[in-house]
Amino acid sequence: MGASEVTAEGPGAAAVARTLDAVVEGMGLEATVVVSPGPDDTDIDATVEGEGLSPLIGRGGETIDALQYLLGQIASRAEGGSRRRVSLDADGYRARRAAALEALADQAAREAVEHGEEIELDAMTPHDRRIVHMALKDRPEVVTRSEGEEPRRRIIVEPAE
Amino acid sequence: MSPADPSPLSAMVGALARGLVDNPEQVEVKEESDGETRVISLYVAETDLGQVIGRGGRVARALRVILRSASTARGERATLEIVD
Repeated sequence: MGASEVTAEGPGAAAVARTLDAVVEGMGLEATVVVSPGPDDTDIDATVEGEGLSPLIGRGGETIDALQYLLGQIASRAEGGSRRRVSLDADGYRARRAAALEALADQAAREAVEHGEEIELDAMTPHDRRIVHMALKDRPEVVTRSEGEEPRRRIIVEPAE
Repeated sequence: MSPADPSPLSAMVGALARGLVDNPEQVEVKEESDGETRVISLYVAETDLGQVIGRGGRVARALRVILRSASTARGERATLEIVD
């Protein structure tokens, strides 16, 4: 274990790799941690590759989002306080989840228009809500908003006036 | 409560906490078992308490979410206490 591949430079990336190795170990997973430079100079992309990674993802992605948040804090601290944005993925989870959320958003928009009423989606993490809002922002026939308090905050899709 | 062998869960909590604080050498993790549940106690320097709790408790909440996933994956129960 601890087979991490780090192609991003700097103490932030090293801290992300070290921490992720400890989490993979803590969860008892057989997995490889890959840490590479993100789209921006200061961004860090981290991904965990392996099988049976559902503990790392958690229900509705709550664990991977919690971990991504902590890794951002940890990387920024390792860089002496200059902000590092960390994106964490596990076995292609982000792309699969985004596709599923976009399909869900599309279906909710159709139902809202067809029945002329509000459609309330299940509670989601802020990351997932953002994907749904973005998926529908260019659809003039519906508007979206969020309601409720975390972690029960959810999206309402309603027909446009 | 009785002392338990330090588990990979404690090691994980320690690694996360050391990354979050200004004084990683002062991070200590103790573990006891309370029946079926491991009680993991996290000690940090007083000045670092805010770093492991976070604004509105966000960091502590994230630590607990991760610990819950890890303990469930191991078929165990564990709770995290941040000792102030």
